Amino acid sequence: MRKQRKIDGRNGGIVPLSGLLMVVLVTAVVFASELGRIGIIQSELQRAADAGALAGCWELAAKFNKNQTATQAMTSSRAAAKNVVSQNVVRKIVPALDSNTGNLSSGDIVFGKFLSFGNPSAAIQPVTTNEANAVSVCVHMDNVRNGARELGLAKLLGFSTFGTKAKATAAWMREIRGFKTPSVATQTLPILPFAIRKSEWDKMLAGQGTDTWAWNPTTKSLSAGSDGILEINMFPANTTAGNFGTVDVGSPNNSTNDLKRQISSGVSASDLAYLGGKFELGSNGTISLNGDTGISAGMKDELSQIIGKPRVVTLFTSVSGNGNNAYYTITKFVGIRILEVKLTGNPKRIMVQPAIVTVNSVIPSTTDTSDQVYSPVVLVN
Amino acid sequence: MKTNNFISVRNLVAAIVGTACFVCSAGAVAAQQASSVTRVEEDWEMEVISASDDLTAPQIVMEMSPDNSQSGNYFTFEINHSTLPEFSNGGVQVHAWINDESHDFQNSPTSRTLERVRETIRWTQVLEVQDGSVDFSVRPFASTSIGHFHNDLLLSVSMPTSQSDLSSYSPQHSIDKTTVPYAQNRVRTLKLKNVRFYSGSNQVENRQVNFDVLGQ
Repeated sequence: MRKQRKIDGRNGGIVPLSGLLMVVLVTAVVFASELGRIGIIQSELQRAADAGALAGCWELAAKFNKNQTATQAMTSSRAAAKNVVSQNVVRKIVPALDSNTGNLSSGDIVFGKFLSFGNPSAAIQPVTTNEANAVSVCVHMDNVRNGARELGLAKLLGFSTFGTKAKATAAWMREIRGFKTPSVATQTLPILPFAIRKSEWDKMLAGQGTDTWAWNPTTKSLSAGSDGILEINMFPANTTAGNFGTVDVGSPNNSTNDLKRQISSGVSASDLAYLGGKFELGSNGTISLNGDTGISAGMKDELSQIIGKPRVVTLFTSVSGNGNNAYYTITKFVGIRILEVKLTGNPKRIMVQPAIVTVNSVIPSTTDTSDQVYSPVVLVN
Repeated sequence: MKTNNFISVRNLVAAIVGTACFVCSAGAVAAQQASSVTRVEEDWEMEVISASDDLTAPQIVMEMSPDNSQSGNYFTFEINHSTLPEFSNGGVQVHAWINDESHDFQNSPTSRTLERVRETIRWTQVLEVQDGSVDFSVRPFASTSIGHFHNDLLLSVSMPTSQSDLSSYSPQHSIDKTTVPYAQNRVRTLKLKNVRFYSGSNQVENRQVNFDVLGQ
């Protein structure tokens, strides 16, 4: 007779194992649940910080564009950042920002200079002047501000709250040393094929010039009068004939039609192809362009079409050669707006004033190689 | 002695009176001469070293004014382009401006552009007052690429005036206002060679100037 195996003694073995597995499973579920929740909160906080930094930075740039003081611009920028952050609700909490009027580097809203584009770990250098080109926003959800979050099931494990924060920095390039071919082939660069003698531009910045036109940045309209921004007549008269020029941005054999196209539509990828795909100052800080002194009266229609629109022109320090071998030594890019075009009678006039130009596809610089030619605002870290 | 003294004094008085009369007379003649200038001719010469028909370059703008443009009244002469009523390549065009507003203009019979050759262009700008009108003309104009315009192809415009003469005219105004607003690098020299003053049909002065407005 076969002896029957006695198995009754093992009946309770699965219970502790199941219990252990249940504990592990519940713990895992709790951790997963809380981690998911934390991840969502962190993600929403980051979204709020990104939006706040972008909004604050755009506002700062816009106010600088309207020639507001740094204090005015930063006040508006703080308000914009706060407003946008508050609209990015995090788990039913409306996040608030501290104004950080002292601009401490540890504050919620920090204004500063940022030059290390392409280096996501670079920090901004806090400044409260109009040199600022970056806004950093830190959104807390901890005991510092907005409150730490209550945990749910994690309480079972002895964890009751957690705190976190998210930080973002947005900036725009304020110094550029050139332009590269836009990523979209049909895009053009708003560069006019003209050059102004740098000493004339500097004189205007130093206070020599007229102020007979007023540009309204809100209505984007022009009227006779003063707007506090001096003007320069880019059309040469007898005594100023050597101070202005038309340059070949692209083919060295530009025709009148090429120049008209560039005035109306901008510099194209095929123009840049002649310059190796980039219109950039060299390592010595200059680029030489062929051209002719002065400006053709035949550009009247094209110039009239772009009155009020911001454009980039070049500054030169010297011109050499004559005939069809005149070469301009370009040292800087500046933003301008055309205010008036009168190309009949004598003297003729093309009145321009400094203006901020936002251009995609710029090449950043760490030296003084541009005035008021900026990149769009982007998140840098 | 007494008589001699009397004669001396009389001679002295006569000499003083004579001198005074001469001075007054000369002044009057000079004033009359200055005030009677009714026509002025300016001879110009331009040396073009490398024109570009692709770019309509260079572009030259001359100006003459009967009154130094005190009133905003002046004449312009555009070479290798024209700006009224719209911009056109090549040729030449004369304009009359009253208070900086266009009063009249006339085009050359051709609109040929300056060619890519060295050439020296010569022309004479004439300003003349007569019968309540001041006329501006270019005669002759001699360019191998643009063309030759003589009295039979007179480029002329006029405007009404209250001036009876050209005493307010100044060649310095013409020098100051002449410009090459586009492609001056393609022009070697632009010289005012001579200025002739006429009273009626009589030449009263021929002033040799030979001044290069480009200063090269």
